[in-house]
Amino acid sequence: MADQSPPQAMPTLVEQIGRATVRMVAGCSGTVTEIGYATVLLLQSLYFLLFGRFRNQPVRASSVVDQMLEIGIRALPIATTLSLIIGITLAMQGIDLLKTFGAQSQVVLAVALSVTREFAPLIMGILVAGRSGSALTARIGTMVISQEIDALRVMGINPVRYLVVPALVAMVTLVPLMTFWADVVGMFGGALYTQLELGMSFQAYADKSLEVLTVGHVMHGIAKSAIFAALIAVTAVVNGFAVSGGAEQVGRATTRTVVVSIAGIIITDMLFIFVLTRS
Amino acid sequence: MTESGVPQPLIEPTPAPDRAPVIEVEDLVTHFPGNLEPTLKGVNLTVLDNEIVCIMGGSGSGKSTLLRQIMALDRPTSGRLRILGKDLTNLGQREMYELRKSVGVAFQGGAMFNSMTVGENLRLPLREHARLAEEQMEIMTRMKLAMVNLDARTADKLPSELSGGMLKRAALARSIMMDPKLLLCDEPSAGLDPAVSAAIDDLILRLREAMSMTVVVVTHERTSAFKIADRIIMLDKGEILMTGTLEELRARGSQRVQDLLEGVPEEAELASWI
Repeated sequence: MADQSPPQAMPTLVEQIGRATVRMVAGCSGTVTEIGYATVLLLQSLYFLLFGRFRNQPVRASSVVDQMLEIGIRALPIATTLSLIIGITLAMQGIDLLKTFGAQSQVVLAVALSVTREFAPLIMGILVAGRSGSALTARIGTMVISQEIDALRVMGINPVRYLVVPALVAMVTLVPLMTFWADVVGMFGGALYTQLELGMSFQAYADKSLEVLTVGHVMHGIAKSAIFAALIAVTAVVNGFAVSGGAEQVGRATTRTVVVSIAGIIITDMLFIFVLTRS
Repeated sequence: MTESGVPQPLIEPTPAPDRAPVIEVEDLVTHFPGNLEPTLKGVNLTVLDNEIVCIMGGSGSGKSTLLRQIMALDRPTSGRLRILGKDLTNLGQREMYELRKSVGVAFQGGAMFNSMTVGENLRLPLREHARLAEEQMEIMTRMKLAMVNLDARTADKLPSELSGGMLKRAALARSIMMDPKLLLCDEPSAGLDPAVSAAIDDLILRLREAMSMTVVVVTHERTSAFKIADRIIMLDKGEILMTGTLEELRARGSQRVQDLLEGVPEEAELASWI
């Protein structure tokens, strides 16, 4: 049978603007809902962490340790390699740039401050977002699809307490530790290159680094990394629980977690520095 | 089967009226988010103690939605739902937690945790709700596996290593770990070959007898429903068409009920398939 429906008219400019506005408002409303959900998840996590044991919903230490192993210990080889390379790269750049002023030895200062305050927390954040954040989203998303989350709920096991809190605690604990490790390895990388290029001994490099660095510099990076960790965990969980449909949606959710987490890390980093440099 | 080849009813088909109600649903209305048309349009039903009730209906009739409401996984738009005497509409978190221990659920796909072995899956509710020693939990796991005709060695396998029928049995075993008073099964024999499906039906009947449970089964498998149900609730387009024994449905059911019993699709449903 021939199609009797009237031909679709081309949408006018006003219609196009109207539709785009509706889409934008819907998108904004979705973002606000997600932020609200993330806040609720954080508050619930805090509740279970503090009062769970008094409500027959304790957070199991074994689950936290499992997550710590996954997030921290198994990521150690790649975290070490990346930190070493970053340290070497910064030393290479620093020596080359400082050569103009004849101040190559000041590379120690450049490497120490940039690694501890900026590069170590950023690189660890991005690494954990790509590695553990995406894995957490995939795990929760798959559990949603296969009704494992429903199974937890009908068994009287709160999914936030069982899945979210261990991941959140593990990330907030391990990412700052990994950042500290990245500080040490990054500076070692800088020292390695500086010794080869300028002939500065490890002892001299270490002494100069310690002269320059204060506890405040190191804590600046570590505090930032704890915020990044919470951001990654919450983003991963929100995207995981939002999965509906099939396996394709899990893939999309994991990609979204990585993109949103990295964007969030960079924006938070900027805000953190803005606030700190003005206080 | 008798010697004459006539199948004998496995269970008493008409429930005794003096049994206590385990599930009471009054004027239940639900909507999918953003959908103005209700999914369940004022459903009323009662399930009595020690009954096996099958909820049947065509696709999109609201069977699974009704089951999710009974599982307290979704909130209704309006209406009242009482499970084991507790009103779900105003139940606090702690009471809900206690109620959950008395309700076992076997999901359609099993919903076993893939990262755990079958044994760990079975022990999870015990670990969370009962303060038992590891040895006691081991014994209980073996006991429940035996109840669903699974070998004790199955406990060491991952869910991905089990066949479809074994997975359904393992899911049933997990759902009865806490000795529930009410067992809810979502399509327990779907996707299984007829022999395995019949074995699951027998298993549900045996579990009811052994554990004196009330069982609600959502199914579109007519053979299974006819075999195990004390009563059948026939759902269509979010409304209950009729409730009764198979014989009552066959004797007094409308043409639509007869069609659903015989698995005859509606014209619109047929058109959507094509």
